[in-house]
Amino acid sequence: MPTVADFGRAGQKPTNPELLDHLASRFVANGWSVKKLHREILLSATYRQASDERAEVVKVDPENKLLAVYPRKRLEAEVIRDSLLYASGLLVDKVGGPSVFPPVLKVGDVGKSQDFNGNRAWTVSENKEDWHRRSIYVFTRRSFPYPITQNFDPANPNNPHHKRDVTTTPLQALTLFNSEVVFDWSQALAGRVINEAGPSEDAQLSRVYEILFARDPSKAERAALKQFLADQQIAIRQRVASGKFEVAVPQGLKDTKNYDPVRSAAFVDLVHTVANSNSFAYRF
Amino acid sequence: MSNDQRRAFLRQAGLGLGGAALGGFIPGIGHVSAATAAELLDPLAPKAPQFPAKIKSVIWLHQNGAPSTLDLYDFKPDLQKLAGQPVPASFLKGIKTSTQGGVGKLYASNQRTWKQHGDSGAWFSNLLPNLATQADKLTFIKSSTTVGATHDISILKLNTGDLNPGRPSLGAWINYALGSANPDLPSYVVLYNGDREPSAGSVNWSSGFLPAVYQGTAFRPGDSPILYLERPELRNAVQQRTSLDLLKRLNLIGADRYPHDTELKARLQSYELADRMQAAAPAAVDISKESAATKELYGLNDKTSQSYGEVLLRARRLVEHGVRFVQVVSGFPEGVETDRQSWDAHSELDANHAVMARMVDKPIAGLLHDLKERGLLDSTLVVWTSEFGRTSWGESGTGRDHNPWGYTQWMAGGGLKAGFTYGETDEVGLQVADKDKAVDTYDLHATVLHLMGLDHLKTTFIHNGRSERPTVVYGKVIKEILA
Repeated sequence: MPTVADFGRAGQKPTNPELLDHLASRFVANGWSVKKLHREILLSATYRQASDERAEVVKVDPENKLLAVYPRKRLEAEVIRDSLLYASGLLVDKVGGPSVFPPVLKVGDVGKSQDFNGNRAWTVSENKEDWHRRSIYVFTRRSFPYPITQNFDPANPNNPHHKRDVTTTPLQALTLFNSEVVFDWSQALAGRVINEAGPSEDAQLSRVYEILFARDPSKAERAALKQFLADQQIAIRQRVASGKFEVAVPQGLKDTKNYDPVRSAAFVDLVHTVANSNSFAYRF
Repeated sequence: MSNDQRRAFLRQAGLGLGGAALGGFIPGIGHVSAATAAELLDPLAPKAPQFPAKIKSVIWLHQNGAPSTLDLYDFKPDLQKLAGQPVPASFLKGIKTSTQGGVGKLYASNQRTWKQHGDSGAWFSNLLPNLATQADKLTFIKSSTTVGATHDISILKLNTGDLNPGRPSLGAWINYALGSANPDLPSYVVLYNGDREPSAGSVNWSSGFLPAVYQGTAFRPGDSPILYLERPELRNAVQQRTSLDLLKRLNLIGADRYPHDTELKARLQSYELADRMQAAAPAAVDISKESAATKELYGLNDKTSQSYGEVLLRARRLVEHGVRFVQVVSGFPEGVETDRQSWDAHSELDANHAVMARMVDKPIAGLLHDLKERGLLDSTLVVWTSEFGRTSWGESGTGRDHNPWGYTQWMAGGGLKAGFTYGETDEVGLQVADKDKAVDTYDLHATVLHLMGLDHLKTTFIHNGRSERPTVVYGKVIKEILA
């Protein structure tokens, strides 16, 4: 049913009306429980199928109207931010309270409030806990949308609408790849992975994929990751040799006995890159 | 017409936008055949105009706070004569004067002198000595009118055509209909001078109900104009490259499972674009290599005009780089008092306009001269506009109140009669004289779109079941000013 906001004459007809009728009667029979409906859908064999493209389906139903495979979806603006925070272990899952103003440019001194670039519309919250609250608690200012989520097609607070757009732009890539704020979360994620997986490289790579994608890396992926770690360490050593000693290190490391700053910095770049990949940005 | 026919008709009407159909699933349009889906890869892919365009780019100079055009271009000898007297009732006919200050006595500053300039003989006051030298490049609209008497809502109407937030701005419509001419830069850029973003904010460059990709990108003052343009401090260029290479490799491994998924490919591509933008955007706004003569031309040597001059110089560079719409919001020079931070002179108009006019006069004159010299004026449209004008009567004895009933705007550039004046106000400069010649913001939008090769009636987007267009349900092209 592509036009959920219009069940009238201008709307389009559902493609699987029998299924909708079936689910609707089950919903009523189950006492109108949304949770039970979710459970039934999520536990169905259909829902649990892999979503790999199938040539025969593409041939007969190129737009996938009949939903023979799961219609791949990009994470919504708030979900991208919350998922990154959750993966990094930083998410503060506190419920309720007034809206918060997380940092925009970089993570500054703890507890020190600062205007964003002279912009009084955005005075960063004093309490560091507020920086990692769920996006639903981030202040919505119509004249100054929160820049970290703004480029990912969030709901426009000026407009009533039933559906969000999905666009793909370089500004999104800049936000996720270059922002000091997001990079800071990746440093925390790197620390979490090392703490949980121990010193073994293979265990660490598995753990990154478990946390981000709930699966192990494939053979090809693992090879690419290992190659990257080797190349990146060379790049960072050269940089250190040229006199730039400061490197991005994992945050919150518990065991610093065998700590190698160059290897650790390469690992931060690795988790940051993996978190930027399509596998993270989409639900397949 | 049966329902099916009607639906098919609407669908086709929706697809007629920009003369080129977008493909695949388009918000506001719906599903279209897979044959055109390849174009979906990039929502900003360049699209052909509906008919040959006169111009490629627009520089939209919003004079924030509303200047008194009665003190700049609209010379009214009768106002000078009647100054100090109550407004004759005949002039107030048909208008609701509910503005804050009430109706005071007619006002004319004793510091104003007037002269005609150029072959066109256009009038300029002594506040704009530099712009006056460009008189023959300008097309005046002296019969401008709008709705509202409060800045934020009339600014919104000026930019989006509605008094409430939610509609796309003119720049967003153009971005949607024509796409980008340079993928390394945002094609709709907002610039401002002063140390903070314009107070009315991003609703004025919003994409409204159009996809967010068409919204304006506000360039921050300074060397790094876009947020998150620079890589984190602790990552060098080599690290960046190896990281991007890994990203590409991982994404390609994943994409194997979805060979027909164009969006995944687009996202892969977006990281390479972002990498290029990282170099292209600072270069596009870098004015350090401009010659001393050019800097002088834009008024960079004068503290009052420096920040606005820098912004206009950036605007010219962006136009050279193919940016379609540059929306410039006037700010204020560094260190001025709060009541000199916009054109909004409810009192002490002389002191306010002395600063504001000096801030914009030389830079705008320099921009017009520079565009002409570089052969860009024929393919660029410069629009000098404001949310409304100011009243003929005085407020607080030394200022003027808001006037949506009659004021002056001008345009300069390709496709227009240069050195031409359209319309006029009444003898005291309060209302449009001939209501048939009134130019509302919708008409201005329709005319700008026309010059870009777009019919405002055929540039459409389906939103909540309605086929929406940039001019809402109004607008006509001002044919009389077209060359």
